[in-house]
Amino acid sequence: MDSCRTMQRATPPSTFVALALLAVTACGSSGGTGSSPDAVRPRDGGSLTYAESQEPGCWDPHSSSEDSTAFVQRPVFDSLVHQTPDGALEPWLASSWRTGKGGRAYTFTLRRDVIFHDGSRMDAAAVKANFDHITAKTTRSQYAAGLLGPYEGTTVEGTYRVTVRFSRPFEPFLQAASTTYLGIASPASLKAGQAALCAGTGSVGSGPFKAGRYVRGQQRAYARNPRYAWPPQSANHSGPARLNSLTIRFLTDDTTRVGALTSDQVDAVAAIPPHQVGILTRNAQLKTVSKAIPGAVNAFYLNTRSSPFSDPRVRKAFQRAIDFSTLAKAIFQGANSRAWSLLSPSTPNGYAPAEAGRRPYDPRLAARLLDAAGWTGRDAEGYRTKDGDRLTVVAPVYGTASLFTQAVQGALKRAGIHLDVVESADAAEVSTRLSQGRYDVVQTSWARGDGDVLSQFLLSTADPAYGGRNFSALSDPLLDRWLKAAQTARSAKQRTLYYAKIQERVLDEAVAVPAYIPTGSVAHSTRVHGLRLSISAWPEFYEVWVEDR
Amino acid sequence: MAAAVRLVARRVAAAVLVLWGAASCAFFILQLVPGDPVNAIVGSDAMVGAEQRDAIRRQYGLDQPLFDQYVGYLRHVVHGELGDSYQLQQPVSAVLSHQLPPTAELTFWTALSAILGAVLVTILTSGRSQRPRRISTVVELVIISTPSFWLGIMLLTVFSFRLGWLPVSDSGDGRSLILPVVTLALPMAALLTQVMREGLLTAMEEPFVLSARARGLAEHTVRSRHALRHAALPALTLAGWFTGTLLGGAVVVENVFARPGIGRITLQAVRDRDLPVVQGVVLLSAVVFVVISAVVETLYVAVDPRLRRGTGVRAA
Amino acid sequence: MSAGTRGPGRRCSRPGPGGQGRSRPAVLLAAAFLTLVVLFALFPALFTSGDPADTDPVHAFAPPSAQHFFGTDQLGRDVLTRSVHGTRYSLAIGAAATAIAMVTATVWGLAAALLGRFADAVLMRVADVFLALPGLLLALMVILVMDKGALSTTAAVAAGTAPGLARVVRAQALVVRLSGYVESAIALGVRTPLTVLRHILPNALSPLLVLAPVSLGTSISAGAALSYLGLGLQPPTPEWGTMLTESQAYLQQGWWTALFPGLLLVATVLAVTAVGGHVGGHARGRVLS
Repeated sequence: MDSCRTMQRATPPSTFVALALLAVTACGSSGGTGSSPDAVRPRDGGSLTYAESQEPGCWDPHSSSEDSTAFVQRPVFDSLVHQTPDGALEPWLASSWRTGKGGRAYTFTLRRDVIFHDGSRMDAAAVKANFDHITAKTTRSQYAAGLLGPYEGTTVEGTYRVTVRFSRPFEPFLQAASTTYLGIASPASLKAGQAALCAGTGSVGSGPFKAGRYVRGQQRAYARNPRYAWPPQSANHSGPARLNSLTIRFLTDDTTRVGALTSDQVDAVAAIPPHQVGILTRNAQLKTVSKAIPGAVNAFYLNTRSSPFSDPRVRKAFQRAIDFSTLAKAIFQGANSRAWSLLSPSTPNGYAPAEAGRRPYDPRLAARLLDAAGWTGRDAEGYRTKDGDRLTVVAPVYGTASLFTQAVQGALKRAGIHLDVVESADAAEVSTRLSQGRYDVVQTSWARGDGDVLSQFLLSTADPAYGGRNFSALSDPLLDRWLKAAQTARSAKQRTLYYAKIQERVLDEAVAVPAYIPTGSVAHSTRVHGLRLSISAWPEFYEVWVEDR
Repeated sequence: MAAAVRLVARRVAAAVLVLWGAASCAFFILQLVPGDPVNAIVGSDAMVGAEQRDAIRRQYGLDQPLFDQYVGYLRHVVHGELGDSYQLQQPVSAVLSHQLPPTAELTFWTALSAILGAVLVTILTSGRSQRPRRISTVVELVIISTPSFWLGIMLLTVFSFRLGWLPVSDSGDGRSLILPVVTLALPMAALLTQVMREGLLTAMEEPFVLSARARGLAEHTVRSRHALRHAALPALTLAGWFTGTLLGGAVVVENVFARPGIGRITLQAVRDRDLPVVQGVVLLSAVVFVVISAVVETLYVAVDPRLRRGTGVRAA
Repeated sequence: MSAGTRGPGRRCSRPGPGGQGRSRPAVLLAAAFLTLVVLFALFPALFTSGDPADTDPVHAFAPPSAQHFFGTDQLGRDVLTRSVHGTRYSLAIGAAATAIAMVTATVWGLAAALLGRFADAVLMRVADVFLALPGLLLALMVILVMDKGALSTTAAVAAGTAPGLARVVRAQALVVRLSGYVESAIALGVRTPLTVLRHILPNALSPLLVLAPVSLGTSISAGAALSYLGLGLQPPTPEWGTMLTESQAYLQQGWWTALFPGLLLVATVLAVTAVGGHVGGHARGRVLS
């Protein structure tokens, strides 16, 4: 479910930014301190156990929109294109590509040596089968199909040449093709049906690891693919992965997960709560890497069709009533900083630096706006009222509200706005509420290495009832035009310009209120080497190796 | 002989009745749970199509009339099948048998330390001197009034976070068992002590104690060998009952200390509305109750020879 | 819901832990504390000026000081204010659950004792089934059926307590009925069932009244336990159990967020048991004489 995505990914303090940069630039050498353990020669063999906080509900990346699905299936599925941790696109399963028809067609030349885990060969027909599967109605794709935008079809040009066609120029496609959501599976495995694919038992790709035994609620095992010889260009070694086996354990409870690392039951953990970072840094046996997540930052999307937020003055009051800088500092203790724009600074082709510092916290302005909007009364609990009705805004939350959300709730209370957080453990219930528009505000974030992530939030056609995320219920012709122009523009500079204009308009209208820039963090034992974070700040396992215990 | 057979038959019948009742109770109460069970089955994968929902309904037999579902459920239960978990994609019996060992371990050490502790304190505080008894009574009362979840949190704060002596969560070795066992055993020991001491003090005034003393037995021998045996009877009732309710304790303690086990899986099942698992846990605890009752009844007879004739005392 | 929830039925067939032998000053102290707690519940504003929902993240985890006697929590909320405001939830749920359990148990037990052998057998076998299940499990099933909140928490706690109490009432009612006391009343011409009930009810109820305080104590702590498990009242309600759940992730930073609400809970349960035991002891003395 959307609202639970990256929101719950946590967040070490800023002291780690240096380390994170090191991890990004040094690509694979995990930048040790003191007597560098990197002097030790990489070793083949061994196993790694990684503890993850979220378990996917559906394991089919073509169908699921969960980012945990993309992460846990990355070792199994390769993509046509690879996006490096700093955002550049490079060949992977496709050795080269060129665009044609003015940006409406992408022709990929595929590698000839790639073999799926089931022994079949990766070729143009396999790529077509995958795109057909993603766009088939029966797949009910919640995200992958959306990534394909104005997709028209795929044509097999030769055994190893394939063309993907669009109805208009579609620039974000290459980055989309690098995500696990558009990962290439063995065509035979796709015939197993949605139930089997979702259950995570029938995943067959060409990745460095083969899917092993999966016990729901506990863990999934992975075994090294001994035939692997097609890593992306920027990888620091070639041939099969160094690890013999990999296990991803699902430990949702923060204390348990961190405890499993400190008691040496797992080698690495994700999603370290800010308040636990201190414990981990004091431990000489551990190291932490972190990286700002690109894409849509954690933000509040205000439903412009709901009664209080249809009034722009109330939306602007919401925008100015919360001191995000102070809140982020206090709650995340430096790990995540406040966001000024909708796209994270690490987003390729998307960041709008001009917005930084604009529209700051201004409680008096917020109060004036609410007064002007007629919310002048006060009830016993101090909330503003109009004609006896309390100024209440409903925020549905899948799971439980984060500490940050609770702090925002407190801040809004001071402004007289009642943020009514409706928690539910039932994903279907939350999703129904969203698709029926029964909410006033949705807090969410979305990781993606391209500014086009905005089109799923702001396009008038991205209706939540059909898997879109237009939670603000926008239908702004200008925004629609700019978003499409940004998809069509052929230069990165031009695209960045469009995204800057789009963000400025959205923030001026206060239909979305950016809160903070989420950071992905992984803590691991010092015996683990070569663990780098991908563009989306998930760990990559291909280059990882472990010292003997 | 015939009387004994009849007695056993009656006990077995009563046990079966309890089990059937528990199974039915679980089945029918859980029918009242609001919401579509298919939502619980698909979990966070909310966008499942109508055809797929129907397929799921058929797969779990949810499309059949209630009575048929009930009969089918009972038939499966008799064969030891508890159905499939909505969330975990495994048979409930596999889930439970996987989670049982850690809980059994916790329960075993808890029962053992509670009983040993209670016996020790009882002997130490039932002497002539009033002072230790008074102090002990107050301490017991405080412990009994302390909810186990808070006791657990406080022990964690002091011994794991402040002093760093013990692991914060399950570390896979015996050390992570210490705090959970203490948390569960303390209130149990306190209650047992109260009951046993009362029984012991009553027993000390009985004629057989007088005769034992007359035979020249040392005072502590009289207390620990003869009178304590007498005092064990009511304590046994309580201990049997406690072992049954330890499951309730396990839910709390496994949650506080983030340990795996039946208690944790139960809570998870309630949160996720994983009804087959809840039904399985209900049945499991009914079985444990029936078995413990039988054991306690047998122990009664072993402890008190006077009960070897007659029907015995109804256990717990 | 600790292991003690279902205790009363059995525990108190013998002298309760809060019973005799407690010195007067202790009981007086307990009574005074109980009065204070009741005042907390009724007029929290008398004791704290703040709002329990007021957050101040910049001053999160302030240790106990003259400004914040109990310190502040992870959102900078005043723990004392929240603890005082939390009293009413725990007391209300405990009292309501005890009352519901008592009434249910009385009806159930009397029906078993008075409606004849068949009804007795059926009702008692059903009670057997409920007794075979840990109280917490019954409570969890009630919560599954109802929506989370104060109402379902109360019902769940009552469901965990009632079966044990029902057995006590039924046993006592049987004793009274078989004592010949009612027979003689009938012989004297008292015929209507209502009158029979009037004679049996007070006698059957007396042990229940003795149990009431202990039951109240365990109900208060059971309600907090359910909230602690995330199945009772929900954050940000300042209830003792929810406060303890929230505190658990931050034991390293602020032990006081866990210490004080818990102490208040323990002290309340202790005081209820002590005062109740004392009063109950008197009541029993009167009934027996």
